[in-house]
Amino acid sequence: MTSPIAKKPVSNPFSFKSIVDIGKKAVVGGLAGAAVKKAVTDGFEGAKAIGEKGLKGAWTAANKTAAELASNPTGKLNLLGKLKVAGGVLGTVTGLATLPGKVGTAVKDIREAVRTGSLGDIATAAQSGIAAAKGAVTTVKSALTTAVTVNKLSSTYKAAKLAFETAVPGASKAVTAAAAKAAMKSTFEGLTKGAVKGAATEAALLAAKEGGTIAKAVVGSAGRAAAKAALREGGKAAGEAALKAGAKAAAGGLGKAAARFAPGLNIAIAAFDTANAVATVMDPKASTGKKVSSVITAVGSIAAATNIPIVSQVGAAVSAVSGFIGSFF
Amino acid sequence: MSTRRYNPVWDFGTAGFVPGDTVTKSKKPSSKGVSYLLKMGPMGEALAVTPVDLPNVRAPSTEDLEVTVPLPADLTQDDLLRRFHELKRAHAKTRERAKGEAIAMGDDVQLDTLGYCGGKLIAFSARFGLWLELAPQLTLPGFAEAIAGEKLGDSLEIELTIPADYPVEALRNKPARFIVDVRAAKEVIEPDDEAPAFLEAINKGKTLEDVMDAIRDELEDELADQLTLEGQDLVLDALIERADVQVSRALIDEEVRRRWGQLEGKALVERGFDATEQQEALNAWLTDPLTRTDCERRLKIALVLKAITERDKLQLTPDKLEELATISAEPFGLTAADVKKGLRESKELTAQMAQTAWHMLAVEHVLSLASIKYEGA
Repeated sequence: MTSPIAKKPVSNPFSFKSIVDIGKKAVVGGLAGAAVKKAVTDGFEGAKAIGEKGLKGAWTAANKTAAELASNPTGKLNLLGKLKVAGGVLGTVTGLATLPGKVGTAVKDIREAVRTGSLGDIATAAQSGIAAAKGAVTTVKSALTTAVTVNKLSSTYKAAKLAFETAVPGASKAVTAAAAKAAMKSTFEGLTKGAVKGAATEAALLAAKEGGTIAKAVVGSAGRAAAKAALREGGKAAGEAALKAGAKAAAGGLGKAAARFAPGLNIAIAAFDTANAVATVMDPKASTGKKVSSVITAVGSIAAATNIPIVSQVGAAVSAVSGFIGSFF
Repeated sequence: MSTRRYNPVWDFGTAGFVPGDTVTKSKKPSSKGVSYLLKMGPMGEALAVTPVDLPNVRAPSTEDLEVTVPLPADLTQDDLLRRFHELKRAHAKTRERAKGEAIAMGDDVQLDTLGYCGGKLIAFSARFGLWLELAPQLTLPGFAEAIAGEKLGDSLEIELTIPADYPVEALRNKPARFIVDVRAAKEVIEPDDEAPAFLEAINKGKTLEDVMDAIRDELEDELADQLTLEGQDLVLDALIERADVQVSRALIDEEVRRRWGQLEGKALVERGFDATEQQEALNAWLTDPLTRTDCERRLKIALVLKAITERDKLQLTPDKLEELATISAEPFGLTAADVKKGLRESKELTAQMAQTAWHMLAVEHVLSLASIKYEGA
């Protein structure tokens, strides 16, 4: 059985090497200083004090020790026990400042201050009293979010594979597939398991896990899943099976364990359509037409690799489409 | 190779592109409106009407189209536990926190975020209205912990070091700063694992063992769905290879630009991002390899499917559109009556849906001609 996967290097202007190059060019400057969280009753005052009097100006008697530790960049932070979390988190977060009542993302001065890391700039921005345009901020109505979607996994695997082939032309199929899977695994493993620490500590289930009960349950699951997929009808029904599979993936089910935040990684494209569909369906103000449209967009994106702003016309001449539309009204 | 021009028009009402010829004159943006848009910078360009050259593509052969879907890894124990955790959260009692109230780990929080590294905006760090379970994030340790204890309605500046094993190599071990606006929060009170009321509510069995077996069966069904879609993707990739279609860098740029406008640009403009900031955000999308590869693939698929549609004389009928829409809508809880009503609400919306349906029709057609086998089945 011949594999449909391209055997010749695919022209692709980007490779993993280029990711590193882009990263190297982006590293300019560095931290101008560390903003440290102080347990002051008014966080704004804390930021203001940092700007006016430097780091020590924001100390209170109770926080002096914490500040002393924080002023040493190689020392461990002890923000009143806040960051004492098992698992090596200590030392990862190097600073935290609070601007009470502000909408920081919507204030340019604050954005520029955070970009440069200048404490003085942050203090100035905080003092500037610029009213954030809260009214312009879009609100997502629904609490339902979607986890990593099927299409995202498969398309990213292929993207990683293409990039690898470009970087290492002539790599054997096995090596290519393994490298692409490793790249995809490292890309998404953290995303899909982001909040699992909470799940893994359910006491009753830990016992089941340690006792091997759950392990027995999952053995052979891939083969059973493959058999289920193979049993689905081929021929004309194959398309409907794929459409239904895509629709189920798009709907997500259960409002699965939150979306993922992964700066630098574009999970927004694949997740946006499904998240938008969920939000629109849940929005009591959305019209039925908008709901149906958002759902078809989401399913099309997953089940048929659509959602393309430019080339959205697979169909025949536009004039035929116009007549077609009229038949609904 | 000859080219054709395609003039999509941005429909402000539906915030999407519709075929230009189906938009009524009253909906077309005026020249004054376009000039205004162009002055807005990159977002304006993303919204403006610009003609696009599409390559002509010869429909590839669909003879002997055979693919084999590789066997995936088995489900893991953590997969089952994660789903159980989601069930608990879904059946938990929740309470909206008041403005000024402290947030706790385990809450569902809604955030607006921006991230900066090395003096530049981190690509795709601009997220607005993002709901998260506030729990330790393996990819970004410390991020959730820094938010816990803060107050609803505040804005935070979080500085942290990106871990050495972060998925994006260029960011590893780098210091980064995030602005995080805490927009909303819900206290989540999870039920007891073995409480009879909880087990009855989730309706998957009377004991935890029964529940785990039921979850495993569900996940296997979902895995089968994934394999079905992977088979479809392999068929589409095979067709792209046969057609040997090439799309220009400029076309991919335009595709990415318009996607950026839809998914990110609009939100940035609402937050007062000036042209320089917008361009920085857009450049991050334009230079992201996976984004470009994904957009290139979708462009190629659409072009190939269009050629096949024309060669094989496929025809979308109103009944077929309604059928495809009904199948798509069912998992979202929308009924056939909802679909019937929705298709008759607005000509522009229906035209958009019809375009997607044409694409789905073409995919259904090529899958009917393909042989998909599953390794390990």
